[in-house]
Amino acid sequence: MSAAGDALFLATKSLRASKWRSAILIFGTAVAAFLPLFTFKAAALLEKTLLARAAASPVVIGQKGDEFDLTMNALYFRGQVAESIPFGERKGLAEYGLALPLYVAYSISGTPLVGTSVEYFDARGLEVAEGRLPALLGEVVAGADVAAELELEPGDRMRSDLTNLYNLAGSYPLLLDVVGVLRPRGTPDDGAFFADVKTAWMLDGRLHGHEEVTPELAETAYGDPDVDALLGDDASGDDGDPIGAPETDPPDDAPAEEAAGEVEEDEGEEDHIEATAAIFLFAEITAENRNDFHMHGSVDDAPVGSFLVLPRSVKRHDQLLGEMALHEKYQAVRPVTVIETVLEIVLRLRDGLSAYFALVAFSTLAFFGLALTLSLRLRRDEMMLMRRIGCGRFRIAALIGTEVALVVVAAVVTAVLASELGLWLLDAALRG
Amino acid sequence: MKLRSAATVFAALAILLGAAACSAPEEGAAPAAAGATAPTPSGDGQPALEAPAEPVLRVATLSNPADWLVQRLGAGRIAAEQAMPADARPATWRPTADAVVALQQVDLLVMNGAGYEAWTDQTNLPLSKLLDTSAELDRIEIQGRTHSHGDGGEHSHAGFAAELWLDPDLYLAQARSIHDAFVELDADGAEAYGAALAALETELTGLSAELAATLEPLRGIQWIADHPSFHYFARRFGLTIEALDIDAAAPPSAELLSALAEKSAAGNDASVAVLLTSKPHPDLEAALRDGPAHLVVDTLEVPADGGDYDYLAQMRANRDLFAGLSP
Repeated sequence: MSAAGDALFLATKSLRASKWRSAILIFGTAVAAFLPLFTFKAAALLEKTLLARAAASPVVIGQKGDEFDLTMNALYFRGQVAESIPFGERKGLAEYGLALPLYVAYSISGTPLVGTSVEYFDARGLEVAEGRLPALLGEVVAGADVAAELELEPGDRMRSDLTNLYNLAGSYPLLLDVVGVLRPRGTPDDGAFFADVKTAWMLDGRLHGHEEVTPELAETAYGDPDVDALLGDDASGDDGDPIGAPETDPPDDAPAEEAAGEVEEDEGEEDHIEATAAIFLFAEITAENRNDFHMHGSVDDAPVGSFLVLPRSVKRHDQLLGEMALHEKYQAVRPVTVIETVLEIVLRLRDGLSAYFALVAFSTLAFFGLALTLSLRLRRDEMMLMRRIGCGRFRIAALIGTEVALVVVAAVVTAVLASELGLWLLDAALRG
Repeated sequence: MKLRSAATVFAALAILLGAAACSAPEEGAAPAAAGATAPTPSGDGQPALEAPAEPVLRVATLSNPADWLVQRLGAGRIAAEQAMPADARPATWRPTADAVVALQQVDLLVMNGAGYEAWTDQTNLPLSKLLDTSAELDRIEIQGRTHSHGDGGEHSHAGFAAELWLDPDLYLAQARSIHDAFVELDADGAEAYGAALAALETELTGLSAELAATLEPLRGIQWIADHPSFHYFARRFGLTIEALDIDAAAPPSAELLSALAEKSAAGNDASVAVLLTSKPHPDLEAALRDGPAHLVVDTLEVPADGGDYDYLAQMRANRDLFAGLSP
């Protein structure tokens, strides 16, 4: 057996003879190695993951205010934006690229409902695993995690969450049709419901369906508190044209003064009907009443939280940022910049932790040295015996060195394995 | 950058833990088969511009007037399909979910706009592919009865008059916006699309002049229409048209007969004429027989008499009707 082989054999025997001492030495050293290793790798993973989502979201346009709130709302569907932006701004933004509306103001079973347009799914690489994408008003698709958690499948119906318990005249929950489930993507999209932005407007009452408002109904609403009078046969709204229907197909019995001719249109007091909050609004969309849903006011004035803009070129990207820099009301946020700012805090924290880890390493080294010194003292007789039977100083030093090396190698291997395990768990957590 | 506090940042980090990478956008599904538009004659006796073997763009049209323009401007490079049956009316027609999903896959959706294709309000169509051909035009706003309920405050469901195609000049402007969209999506076909637009321009300009000449002598007439479809027509040709918003096919009410009598009494029968958009009920026809002249005109929403939709032919048929009233 070679000298190195002898040293390895004796070192192994020695370490095994003092199992607890060896285990404590390996554990202490492994912890000292694990802490910086895991922290730095975890920070890098976090940075990469967060920046990837941000990089896939070049520009977010919203009202001037907290950039962080806007980014959180648009990219991660968390929190609220302080002020909405009119949907009509989309036309101007479309000159720069694909402008996707994002309206995250409502939830279903506590899960955010994202009102957007159908292009969002392509832009984010989202595919349908079951069912189809929303096609009609009142339809939603569920992200993979949401569907798994709530055990959803196409054909299920979900009621949106109540947003204001005390405002009976305002918006109220609506039954929505789940028409599809998305494939998992490992992004925040897995944890949300998606619908067309018009469906989101439906939840805030801006787009709604109700029985036809006629002078007779208004009079009934004021004059007769009997709810049955309001919820009578006409309440279904099936028999009248939707109020929002264009004037191309008015009800046959429309009074002559309603005619919208080229001339002679009266706009007097008699043309306004106040029907009170007691009017019967539809609480769900069905095939029968879907056509009766209509917008309050212009679509262009309807609110969205932000627009995610995917510029069609670098030039357009820069032009958009330049344009928005001069805008009085709106701002263009580059999510990458926002996330990098957040990550700067992490990096600063990591730098602070480096000093701490150096201290830990130093104390571990001191502890290791102390343990080694004490161990050598305890093994003085053993060393003496080895000298007497002819073992040289170099051989004894090689033996001690091999023991130390074995402890360090075992500690590093343990630290690397623990670090990889931790990163795997973190990655799994990040991907939901 | 205004980050509120370190606490906010750390709270944010907790939220950000749900984030991960996104992949690049994916291409849409391959277009389904659809009828290709006819190649464009180049004019001047030259052979037609060569059309590609396969259509380059897949376009869906949301109403008949828009469809006719797309067919005329497609130059054999467009696979055009109409979302709605040709004899349906957009105000009342509603698509199935599957039909909407199919529409989501095309390259371009062409609509008249101005609220005409009302069914689009209840459907989820890709905004970036939706071409509203009237969006940039001088549309006529119409008032409806306002009402209020709930939190929404006073509001009206009125909007724009939709029948822009009854003014050939506006219709030509709509054609130009379609042409521009085609060129933007298919730059290689710019020459073919340009030739198609030039040919259409000649026809529509000619039609507009013909109508103007025909209607010039009729400007003094007080027109009464059964339906508010003629805003743009009246504006273009300087006519005064009052819409009563009645159903001509239903038995006339006493109020209607009285209103017609009142209008006639205000002038003489020669200075009042009635425009109807559908064949009148026999009772109304009888009432009109001895009163002011009446015309049953085509609003060009659907094909005439079950044939194919033909804007030029249908509009010229209208011109002939008006010409019959000329002194």
